[in-house]
Amino acid sequence: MAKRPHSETGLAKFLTRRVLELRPTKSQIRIATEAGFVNPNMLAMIKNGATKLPLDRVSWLAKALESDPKLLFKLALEQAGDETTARAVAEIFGTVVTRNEVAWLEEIRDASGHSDPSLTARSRIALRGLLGK
Amino acid sequence: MSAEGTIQGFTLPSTRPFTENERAWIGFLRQVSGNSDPGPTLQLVQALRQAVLEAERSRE
Repeated sequence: MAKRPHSETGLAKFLTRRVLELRPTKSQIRIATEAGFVNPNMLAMIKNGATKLPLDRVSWLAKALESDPKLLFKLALEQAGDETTARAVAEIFGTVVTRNEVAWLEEIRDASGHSDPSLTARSRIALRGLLGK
Repeated sequence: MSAEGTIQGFTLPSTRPFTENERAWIGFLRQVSGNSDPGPTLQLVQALRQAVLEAERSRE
């Protein structure tokens, strides 16, 4: 049986989901080509967790997946498991947030009148109810 | 540039990074959405506002 050491990473799961969501309009091979993979099998290997996503492919793959590159970069850093790099990125650039997350923060600030509300058990329940888990 | 201290999605430690409470909100949103990075749709924004309201009530 083939080794798939990265199959449980957030990146592999995200990639699997996006490939599925794009299937009606874009094949996996086309995504791999748009992302610049010389061998399209590379994308399948990243998807099933056999290999990691190289950081130099993040930007192109995000475009091919029609996704936020910052989300993919964050997932790739987590997958790389290189704590030194992750710490350096956090120290220099701050915490990586996506465009959508910036929008969420603006909503939180606006809804609370900039009172910096803490996340309570009741607010967790309210959010979980709609977002699913 | 959309939020104070945020440039193209990166918060700069030298200006105004988000607070620990905001970090908790984002962390929870990531967790419950399965890292799917959901956009702020009307329904989700309403749920978020309800959650913020609940948090404000708990503080009272």
